[in-house]
Amino acid sequence: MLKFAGILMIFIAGTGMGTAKSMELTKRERNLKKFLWLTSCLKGTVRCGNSCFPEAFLEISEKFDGMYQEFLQSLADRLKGQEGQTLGQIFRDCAKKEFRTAGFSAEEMELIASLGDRLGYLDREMQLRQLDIFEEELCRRLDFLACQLPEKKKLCRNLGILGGIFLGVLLW
Amino acid sequence: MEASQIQNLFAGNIRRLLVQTEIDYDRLYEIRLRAGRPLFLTYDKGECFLRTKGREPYVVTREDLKETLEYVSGYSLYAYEDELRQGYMSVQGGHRVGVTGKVILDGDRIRGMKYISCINVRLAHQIPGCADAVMPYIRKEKWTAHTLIISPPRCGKTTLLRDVIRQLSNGFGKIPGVTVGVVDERSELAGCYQGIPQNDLGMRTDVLDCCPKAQGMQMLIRAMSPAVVAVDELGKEEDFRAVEAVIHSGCRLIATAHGENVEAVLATPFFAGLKKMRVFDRYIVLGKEKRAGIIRGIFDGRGVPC
Repeated sequence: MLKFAGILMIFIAGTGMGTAKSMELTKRERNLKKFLWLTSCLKGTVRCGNSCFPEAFLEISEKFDGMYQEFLQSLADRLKGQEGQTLGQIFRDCAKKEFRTAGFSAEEMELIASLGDRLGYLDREMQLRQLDIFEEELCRRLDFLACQLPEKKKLCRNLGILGGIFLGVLLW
Repeated sequence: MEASQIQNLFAGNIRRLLVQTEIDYDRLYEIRLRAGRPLFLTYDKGECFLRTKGREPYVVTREDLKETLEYVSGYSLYAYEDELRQGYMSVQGGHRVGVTGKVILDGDRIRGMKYISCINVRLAHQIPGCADAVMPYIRKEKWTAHTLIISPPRCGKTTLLRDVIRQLSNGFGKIPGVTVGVVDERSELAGCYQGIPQNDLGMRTDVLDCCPKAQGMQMLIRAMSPAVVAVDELGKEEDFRAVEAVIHSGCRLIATAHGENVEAVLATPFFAGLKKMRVFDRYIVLGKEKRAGIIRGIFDGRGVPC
């Protein structure tokens, strides 16, 4: 009886791990979409409000919650603090700190962290163009992820279930 | 004046020295940075170098200028494109940062500036009460004079205008306050930061920030029905058309202009037109004999001392 209960627990744990991994992928897609929205908001604030970055980040932060709001507010605070670092460095630090749990892949994280390096140079047109390019890149990644996502999620779930069964059989 | 607000505008090396040095920011007028040259601090009574610990004058580097420009613009030089074309930026607190460098032309139009080699931070000062002596000439119980404040640069025109606005708006003595509309083209008068005036312009004052004077005056008349319209540094042709609109709308006008004296200002073509119309009831001339803001004279519409 105890053996059966143990095997059942292993099976449930395997299925749970698979489902968790699959949910992580959904979270990753959702967070990328949210960052895309953030980019659009930033573009609008630069285009229409002609706001400088600390101001723009603070304005946008009101539209977001959770890690995005924290990211935008800490970014605005640090830029206002004028600590002797470049915009790129500050942006990278804040992104890496606040998006630790966002589920981004290393490549996606690098793409997001590098946004600060592209901004702050030359005129408004240049900022908008850079944000356009960034948006395009992000959209490409989202499309790619959307294509792969159903298969990957299914794979994760199935691997979890099969892993659970496999370990159960081994222990029997 | 908040010292840290000013210190934070500068590059790390300069900021550290500014923090270490004892500076009376209420008397400090300008901080001037030139690439490869010592940093100057200009007070009302003269200038001095910013010195290192070894008492050597601190020599400004190109990196200092670049870093300072990043901080001044909040890492967003693009947001100051239009202002940079005119050679200055306005920052939090109403301070004005003038820049010079290599001008980039697009045909006849100034497109921008590069190789910035000089930055001049002009500090805005609020001196509540500095207009006490002139207020009885500008405002009686049921009358406000169309007033022009005249002085050469750095003699306290804007500071005086700011206090005149504040007193007109709040009222003074037994004189009640009136609604004042301010067109603050360069964000110097109110020193707005994110739309909120950092300087006290009074409780009945509406500020149109960063708006060209001519359009701003018309907008204020249409939208805010002010009793008094106040603007700094009249001088462009379109300003004068807007002045006419203000006069004919029944609002009173308080303005400033660059000039040595009343005659010199009224001799310029635009002001000559206003003189012919006898627009201004009062001319206040400022000088800088011992310190900025000395009132040299108050004249009526005919140029006769009051």
